Amino acid sequence: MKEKAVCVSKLAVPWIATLLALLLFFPVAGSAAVTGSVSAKSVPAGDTLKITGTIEPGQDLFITLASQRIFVPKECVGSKERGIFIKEGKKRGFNSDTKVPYLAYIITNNSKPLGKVDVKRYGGAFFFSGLYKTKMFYLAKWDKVSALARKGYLGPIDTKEEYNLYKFNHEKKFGLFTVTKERTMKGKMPIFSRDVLTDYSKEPYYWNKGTKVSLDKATGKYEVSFKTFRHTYPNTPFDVYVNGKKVATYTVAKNGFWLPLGYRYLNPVIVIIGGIIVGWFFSLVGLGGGMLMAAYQVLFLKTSGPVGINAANTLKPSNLPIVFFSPIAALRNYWWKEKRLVLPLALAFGIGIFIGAFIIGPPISAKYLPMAKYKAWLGIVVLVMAIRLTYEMTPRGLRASKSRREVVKKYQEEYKKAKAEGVALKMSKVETVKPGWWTLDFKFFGSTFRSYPILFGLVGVLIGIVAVSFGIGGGFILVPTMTMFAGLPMYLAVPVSLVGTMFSCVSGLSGFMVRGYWPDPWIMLGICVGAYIGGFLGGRTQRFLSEKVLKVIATATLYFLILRFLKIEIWI
Amino acid sequence: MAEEEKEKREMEALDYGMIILMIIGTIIIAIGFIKGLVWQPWTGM
Repeated sequence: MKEKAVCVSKLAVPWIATLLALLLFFPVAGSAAVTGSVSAKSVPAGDTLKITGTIEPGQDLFITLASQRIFVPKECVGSKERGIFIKEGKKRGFNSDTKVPYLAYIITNNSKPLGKVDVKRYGGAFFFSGLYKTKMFYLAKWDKVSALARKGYLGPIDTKEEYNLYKFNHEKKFGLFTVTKERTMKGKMPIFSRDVLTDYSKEPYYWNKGTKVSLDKATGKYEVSFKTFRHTYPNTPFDVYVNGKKVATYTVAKNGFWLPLGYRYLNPVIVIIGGIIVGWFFSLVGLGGGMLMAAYQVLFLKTSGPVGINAANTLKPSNLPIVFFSPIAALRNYWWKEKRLVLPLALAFGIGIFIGAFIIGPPISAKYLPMAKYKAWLGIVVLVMAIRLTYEMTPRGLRASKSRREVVKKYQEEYKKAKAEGVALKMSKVETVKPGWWTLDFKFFGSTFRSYPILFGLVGVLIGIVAVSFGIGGGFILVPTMTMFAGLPMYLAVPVSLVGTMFSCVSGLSGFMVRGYWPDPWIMLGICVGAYIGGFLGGRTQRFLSEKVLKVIATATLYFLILRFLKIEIWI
Repeated sequence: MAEEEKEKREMEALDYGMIILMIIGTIIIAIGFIKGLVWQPWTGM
């Protein structure tokens, strides 16, 4: 019995040894061959990171850098964005609780298993979209990458839903402007958000710039350089996965002044400079402040908004304060010095604007005007403005503008006279001649005017919606409504329009805020300070510039902006 | 005289109306500024 037992144990030893070898040796061989280390534990945003190590000889290299900060559609900060993600998820195959790293890159020596480089048409807007051609890396469908992903080669992205959401965030503008915020540009146009990267010297595509991959297949030794995203959220930890094995972590550190909701590193002085230019322009031309500031934000500040909020929905509330602060100086003259404000008119517009900008506008704007569409529509708004300024430069327009100035001058003289006689207060009081909701005749400074309260209220609603949709004041619709359709003189229309734009700001900004869309504090403050300085400078430089020169410069700028926003001009 | 006084008061009331609009606007902007400073939205961390 004893002998038999010994015999069994003797036989069992090699079996157990073989089994142990099978269990231990293979996994050890698989992972022990994969090593990797990063050049620094902390790298400032925008700097280059080096990753070195070895993989199994003969294999391809797949390094996934994934932020530990993740994005989940159901926890999306913006309520409208959340809705869009849920809707898109049904179409594109991800759920509301699918989790993906907010930033993730796959660096490889062989990108073929992950997708392909193909033509991407871009530029143009509306019916003429796709004016230009470039190339872009298109991620393959899940079926093609699932084997790699299941082995962990894409790091934390290992299910179909996660992969689909990752794809949406990188290839669709909505995902790019709401989650990754990384614009991989061709000229001045964001094409996609870089995802799969290879060696730039071998595949010199624009998205591979700053990436070096060298792999010795015979030994498995590799060296990779990767340029981190310049506007990575400060101190974001990243995991490094090499061929499915997590080998290191590093942190992308803060590098400059971080705009907390603008989500970029930017010197606030640049914001102030923009505010000064726009404020100066506004004080000279008298309108277009909000629109120009919005253009400045789109072109120079590139306000991006927090993860979970589309860039446009941070840009709009951050922009609105300019239409509040820039009219103050002018309004002081109109109201306190010249009493040139027809308050009932301002109120009729004000109530309408409040309804449009506080109640109706923000949800519509937040849902239907994300960044990609916002730019094109802003182009249309700029076009309307440019046509108007062009008209004003024609002989007819110039005559009209001259006669307007004369009327204003006449009013100012009359006011002076009335003040000297001590009847100014009495005359500047709005007297109702014929009351009514549809038509209201009033007497102001000796003349009788006709206004349309209900119509003005409705126009106010429309202006409120437009204003809040673009984060502008809407003065460019207010003034023509009063002068062209209601026949009111310019000296009455301009002050009313200034009060109207202030209403747009107050109701639009609070409308966004109560719905969870907050402005970036530094952009907002920079704009206010800049606009104030600009307005002050405008008053001092007015006499050195002729109106014609000013209008030519303004119109040229506007036409340039139209070409840019309609994505016809894409290089400068 | 009484009429003039009344008109003056009316105008002054409108002056205050404008001031109130400005104060409301400034308060809203200030609230936006402070919230923007302290709010750190993030999902899934």
